[in-house]
Amino acid sequence: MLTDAWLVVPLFNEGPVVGDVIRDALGTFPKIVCVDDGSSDDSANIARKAGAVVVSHPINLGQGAALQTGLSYALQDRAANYFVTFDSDGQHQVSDAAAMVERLRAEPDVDIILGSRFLDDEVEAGALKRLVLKTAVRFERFSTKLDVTDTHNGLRALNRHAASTIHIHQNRMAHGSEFLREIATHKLSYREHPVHVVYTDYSRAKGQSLWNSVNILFDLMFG
Amino acid sequence: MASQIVIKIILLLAFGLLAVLLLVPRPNTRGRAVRRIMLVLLLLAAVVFVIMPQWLTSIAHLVGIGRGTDLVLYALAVLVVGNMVAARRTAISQNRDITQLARTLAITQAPDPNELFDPGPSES
Repeated sequence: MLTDAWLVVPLFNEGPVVGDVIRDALGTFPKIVCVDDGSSDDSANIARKAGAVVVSHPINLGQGAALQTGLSYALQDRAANYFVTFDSDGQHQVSDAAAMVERLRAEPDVDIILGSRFLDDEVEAGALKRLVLKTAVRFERFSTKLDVTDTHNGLRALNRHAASTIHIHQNRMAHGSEFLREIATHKLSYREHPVHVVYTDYSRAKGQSLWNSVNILFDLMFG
Repeated sequence: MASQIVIKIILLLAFGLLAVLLLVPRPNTRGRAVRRIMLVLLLLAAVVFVIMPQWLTSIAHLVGIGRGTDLVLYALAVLVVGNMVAARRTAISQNRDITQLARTLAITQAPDPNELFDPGPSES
């Protein structure tokens, strides 16, 4: 049981899966905050019944905003030292998240651990998706000078210093890149950790379309 | 037509300036003052050209355009784009404010995490 860690879960219309995701994670992470980003389904109630604390945005603001709200909320807990961002659709493994927290504990000089799909071979993504992700990685490596292999992975573990230093302004989908920029700007020390992402039929159906890459690029340049 | 090179340069410079405005940080007090002065000058120019349309044509000839009407059209194009840029900037800054407001509201309404887990889990 990781009582000094918070799982921060942005939540938007994930009713069919979020209950199982929370119940599955509670065994390891007793402190889970779901930030309901104005879901139109029953996600918030399902998450609350499953045992998570639910913080509700009065209006839909976007996943990046939900992450920042969750981090701000969890930071209020004086007993919390570690903060893990975790997706609500079940694509992340609780064991990966726990391993990342333990690694932060073992290496106190590291501020943030980024999950990476490309450090091992367990990638279940289509060829086109891989190409887009790899291109995004190249772009981020160039613009932030960070040595990372996966830039758009929602699984990250932060220590208190990183969580209180990083501030996400990109409300919509560009927050993945913004995390990296914040790391570069504030010179936080980071490591990557191999994680296994499960693309279920559910997550594939909801997955980001490639059009979103265009939106992300524009948000970063003009936002 | 080589005679239109002047207006082409002016228009390209204007659009370039707008592109720069789109990328640089938000305007400060001086930027706001400059915008207001420009607006007043624009209104004055509009009044002058309504009364003296032949002046407009003379200016158009100066920059290599045949008709004053065309000059107005070009100026309109620059203004429309400039307005889009300004509107976008306003929207971005308003979005940030709304986000902050909504976040504060959401966190205030949620249970205090320090009380949730301390003396054994208590359901809210």
